[in-house]
Amino acid sequence: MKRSTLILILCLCTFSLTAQDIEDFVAKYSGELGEPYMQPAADALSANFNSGWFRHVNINKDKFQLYFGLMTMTTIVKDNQKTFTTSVYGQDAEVPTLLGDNEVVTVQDPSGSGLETAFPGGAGVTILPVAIPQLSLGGIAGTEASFRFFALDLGEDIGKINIFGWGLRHSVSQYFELLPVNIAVAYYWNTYEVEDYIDAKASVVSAQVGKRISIFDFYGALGYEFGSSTITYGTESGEETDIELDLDSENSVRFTAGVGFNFGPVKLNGEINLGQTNTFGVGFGFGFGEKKPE
Amino acid sequence: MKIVYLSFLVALTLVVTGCDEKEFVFVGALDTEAAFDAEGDGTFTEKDMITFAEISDALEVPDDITSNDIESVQIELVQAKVVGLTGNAVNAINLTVGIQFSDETFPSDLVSNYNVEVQTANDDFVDVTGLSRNVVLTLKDKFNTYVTAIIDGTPLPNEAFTVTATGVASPSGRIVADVEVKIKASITFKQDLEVPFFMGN
Repeated sequence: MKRSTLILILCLCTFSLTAQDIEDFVAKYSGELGEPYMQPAADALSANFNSGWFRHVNINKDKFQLYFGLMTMTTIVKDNQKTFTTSVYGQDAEVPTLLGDNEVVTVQDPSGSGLETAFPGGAGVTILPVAIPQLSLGGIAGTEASFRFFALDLGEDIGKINIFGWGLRHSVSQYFELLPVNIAVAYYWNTYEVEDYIDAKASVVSAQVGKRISIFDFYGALGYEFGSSTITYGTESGEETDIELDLDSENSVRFTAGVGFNFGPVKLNGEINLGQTNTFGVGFGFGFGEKKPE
Repeated sequence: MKIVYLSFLVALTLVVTGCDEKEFVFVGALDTEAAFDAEGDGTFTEKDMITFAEISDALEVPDDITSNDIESVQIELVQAKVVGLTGNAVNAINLTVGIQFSDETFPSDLVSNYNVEVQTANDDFVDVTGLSRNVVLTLKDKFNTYVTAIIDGTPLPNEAFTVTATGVASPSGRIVADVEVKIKASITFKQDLEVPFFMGN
């Protein structure tokens, strides 16, 4: 029996689940309902990957700077991401998404035929955390490049997980020396693949503003994000069938606000992102060569 | 860089070791299909036997569940499709579908004289309405019994039940068609899974 790994949409950390467990959530949805069932999870994943890319806006104009650290991003699942409305037996029914409560919803045919349809519950997710290492190199013409990379082979039951991301940002404030704050523009791109089952991409363009005061870096951004996921999973009803879903993220404009703490080379930061999907992030790492406060 | 990767692995370990076993309820498909070669002047009657092997193949549940994990079986939909073949001269048939279980002498009508238009092979199945509540509920009970027996590995005969299709041309004419009747059912079952703290709430 072929089993796929769909719940890995939910988190990179659920390694104790086997692929067999995973497909149970989605086995019922071999048709058009697969999209609304899984879209909120795809949105949450996209929002997570579009978060946590920067922790200050102090990009050196012509002096090398380096940061490497671990960023954890967590989506707060909203109530409206836990259910969707579908139609069955000529009536509307509110049923769980993959992130929704783990309660099967059974709808009976009001005509009294004895027919009844059971809609699967979700995974009962209230928050969705992701952690990923990141490296940022900057200081050439006021430009910084960032990279995220993680690869892991979890064996034949799940397969290989590959995460890769890159981004570029450029200091705008370097051209306006009298500005009281630092300003930058940026583009970030991520891909997340699990064997042949999940191929997700997320990207964000943003305008960033920040100021360093003492050991603190206060920063904020206005961004526009994009995301798409292709999810392939098997169903087995009589004969095995692979289902492929293309999910475009519904995320759009997002606001970021955060603060970084600089204890010499040790860097900590926390941020919140508000948009179609809200996330918060906490980062820890080491930085060298960053601009001193003015 | 090693410190960061180490932190990452520590974070992963904390999540994995922080897993709890929680009970989840899932829904699996259990669709069966009967197919008939319909041919006759104005009318036809055909039978198709549904075997336990077919039901077992259609049963979409994990290999490791037991019959105690089964919560319920639902009959969700009955659908039909009539595909006209060369020589067919009718636009629709009034279809009567009977179900005869192996321990019964006569079939019981699941639906009587339901008008189904003749379609092409690429068309979707149409939902059949006007079903007999008693037969639907009997099907539900039988499927529950069948599924329990299959999961428990109880020795079973070959035949589970027979589907009978009787069609009357509407308007009259020669019927040459492939007729399919699909019974879409589902099974809900529970399973304990080790999940991280943020799942199963």
